[in-house]
Order: sequence, then structure tokens, then C-alpha cells
Amino acid sequence: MSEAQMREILTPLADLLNNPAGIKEISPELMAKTDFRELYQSLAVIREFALTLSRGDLSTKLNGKGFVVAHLKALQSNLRHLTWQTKRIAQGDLIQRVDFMGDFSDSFNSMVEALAKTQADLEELATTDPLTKLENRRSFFDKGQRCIEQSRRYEMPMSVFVLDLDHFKKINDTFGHHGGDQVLRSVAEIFRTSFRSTDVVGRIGGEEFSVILPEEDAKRAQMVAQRVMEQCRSAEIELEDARVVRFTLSIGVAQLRANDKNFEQVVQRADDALYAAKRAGRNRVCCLDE
Amino acid sequence: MGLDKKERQYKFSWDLLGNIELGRPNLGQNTRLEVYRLMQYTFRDVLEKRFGTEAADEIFYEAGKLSGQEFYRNLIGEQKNLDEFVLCLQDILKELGIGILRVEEADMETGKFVITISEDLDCSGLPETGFEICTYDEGFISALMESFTGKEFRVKEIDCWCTGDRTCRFEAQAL
Repeated sequence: MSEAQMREILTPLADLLNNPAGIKEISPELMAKTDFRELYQSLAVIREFALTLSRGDLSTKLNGKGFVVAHLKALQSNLRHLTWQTKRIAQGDLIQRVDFMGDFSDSFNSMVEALAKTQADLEELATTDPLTKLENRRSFFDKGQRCIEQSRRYEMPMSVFVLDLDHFKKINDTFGHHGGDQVLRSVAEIFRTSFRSTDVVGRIGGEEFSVILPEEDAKRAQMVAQRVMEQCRSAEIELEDARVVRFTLSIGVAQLRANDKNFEQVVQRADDALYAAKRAGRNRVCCLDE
Repeated sequence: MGLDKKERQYKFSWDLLGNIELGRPNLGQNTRLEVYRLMQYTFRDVLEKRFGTEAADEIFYEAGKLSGQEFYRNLIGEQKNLDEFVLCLQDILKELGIGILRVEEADMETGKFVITISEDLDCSGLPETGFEICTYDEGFISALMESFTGKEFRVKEIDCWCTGDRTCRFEAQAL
């Protein structure tokens, strides 16, 4: 083969690979040669695909066979999967991880882990009382409504406490707000160990707490309330300055009724019972659902 | 012709996989992949000779489907949502050395899914025959999709190692 003939074959192939302007005209005689035509067409397909891929178009179907085509398709497939994963993350699925893109995988996964942590932190901020780490009022009432639905679905009883520290103002006046905060944190700690993991405990006001007891009727709930009240009465809270605080609780108990329209109504009855307990001299349990 | 239930000797149940710990105290769970492929492709050879290519493919699709149903029931179980289903499936397919699953498209509303399996147990590394060979996988995936969604699915392999691709791609469509 002469140099001129070699150039005639190689120039259009090199143009496909290197020339951004595109392809010059090829002689019909050359295109009539099957081997050349097939190679030329394969390269043309790869060139076109590389162009669309570089522009971010992942939808183009790559027709053809061979080592390069197969690996380009594998790359396209990985990028499509990555696109799907990113869409899932955008919809809140933060369990997605990438394991096939080298350094990019590490960065991507770090980003998703940071997002998951931020989301968890925000969720905790939105649902937790910062002082006691119990449920905050909003989260507590949300959970209460869900507990009612569950209770009715499974035809199980459900009870609610509203608990208030007796003479808390006096504790604040005597030990200062910092001491008062320490008492509230200690009370929360007592509640965490006194109630079941299925009970929901929240701080719904300054020194006011509330507890949901799924699957408990008023009678059983009053026994639990009595026990918690006694636990609190016998507790001694040691402050940072070594002074010891003793305190008592009043507890109102209410049981979910068939005609309760929402969770607020149950809490309201427990609150009414709490005030009855306060009026009766504090440091006691009261239930108006007998 | 199908046999009556009474006549059947080999009706599948998960128990037929046996107690491997008891039966293979020294050799354990592992065998070489060639052995699995040896069985699959000799089965395929005999079935094709006896019943033709189309029927052999149908048998493999059906067997894959039965396998997928049992696999879902015994190893996956109920999943809360698509994300958990995909994650669980990815983990288990990888752990068992079946393949690396990735999702390219998943539309629960239209019931269209495009998934890929790399390093596939059945085909990766096979000679290029020019046709898609993973009919067993097609049936297997259809059963997994049906078990998860409760809808009937048809699955077709569109790229395969045997057609020159490096990853197997499947389109699943709810019927």
C-alpha cells in the first residue's frame, strides 16, 4: 500500500477522532469496502455518543458493539444510576450511597452523610425540648393524635397524665433559675426511667409535663401515676452547689373516650383533673374519669 | 404435559436447599462459579435439544420466576418502600455473589423500571454469542418486582454481556 493510499484510509478515521469540524467527504470506493465502512461507522457512533454524553444527555441509546462501546454504555449506566440516586436523595432518601465512582463516591457519600446528620439534628431540634430532651409540646401533641388513631384501630384503651411540679415558683425563688432548670432536668431523668419505652413523655409548659400511656385504662394509669408521684416525693436532687432539693408532684389522669374528637380534649380532661388535685392540696393523683 | 400434584416428586420448597451446615461441615457454603454455570448451561443444552430454543427460554424464565418468589419470601420479606426494597436487594445480591444491582429508572406510577446487574452470576465473562442469555434473571427479577408491588410484571433483558455489553440491563414493565 502506498503512502497516499494509507493516508486516504487513515485521514477520515483520524478526522472522526480529532477534528471538531467533522468529517470530510469520503470516496465511495472506500466506503464500499466492508471492513473500512464498519470501522468508520463504529467510530462515528462513538463520536456522536461521546458528544451527547459530554453535554450531559444520558438518554441517547448507544447502538453498536465492541470494547469501547460496552464500556461507554457501562459509564452511561453508572451515570443513570447516579441520577436516580440523586433524585431519591432529593426526595429524602438519605440511605443512598455510591460505590462505583472512585474519589467522587467518597465525596458524594460524605455529602449525603452530612445531609443525614443535619436532617437528624433539625428533626431533634424541631421535636425535642432543649432543656429536658423530652418531646416538645408540638411533637407531643402530634404523637398524641397518632396514638389515638392507633388505640382506636386496635380497640385498646389509652390514658394521659398531666403532671405539674408543686410550688415550682418557690424552687426557682430559693435556688435560682439555674437550680430550677437542674430540677426540671432531674425530673425528666426520673420520668425516663419510670415510664415504659412505649409511653410518650413531653414537656408541655414551664414546669408542666404530660405522658401518653398506650394500652392503659384509667384504673391502671392511676396506679402508675401513684408510683411516679411517690418516686418523685422520695427523690433528692443534688444541685451543682451541693444543695439538695426535694419536691412533690400533682398528677391529673384521663382516659381516652369514644366521643373524644381529638387529643387536645383528652389532655384538657387530664388538666382539669390536675387542677382538682391542686385544689385538693397538691402531692396527689386525681382522675375525673371514674 | 403437566403432572398431577400427587405424581410430582420435585415440587420446590425452600427446605429442598437443605441444611448446609450439617451436610457440609468441611466444605461449607461455597463452590466455584463454574459449577453453577456448568449445571445451568448443560440444563439449557438438554432442554433446548428436547424442546427448542423458545421453550427452553420459557422454562428458564419460569424457573427464575419461581426462584424469585421463594427468594423474596425467604430472604427479603415485606419492605416498607422502594428505597428500602432496593437497598435490601442490593445488599443481599452482593452478599450472595449474585451481582451488583443498580437502578437507572423507577417509576412506581407507570410501573416502568430499568435496572442493571453487573458481574452477573449467569453471564458475566461468557463468550459473545450475540443474543441476551439471562432469561433466568428475567424471570427472577419479574418475581421480585411482583412480590414487592403486588402487580404482574414482564421483564426483558436489553443489554447483556453476551451481546458485547459489560453490564446486563433489564426493562421491567408492570402489565
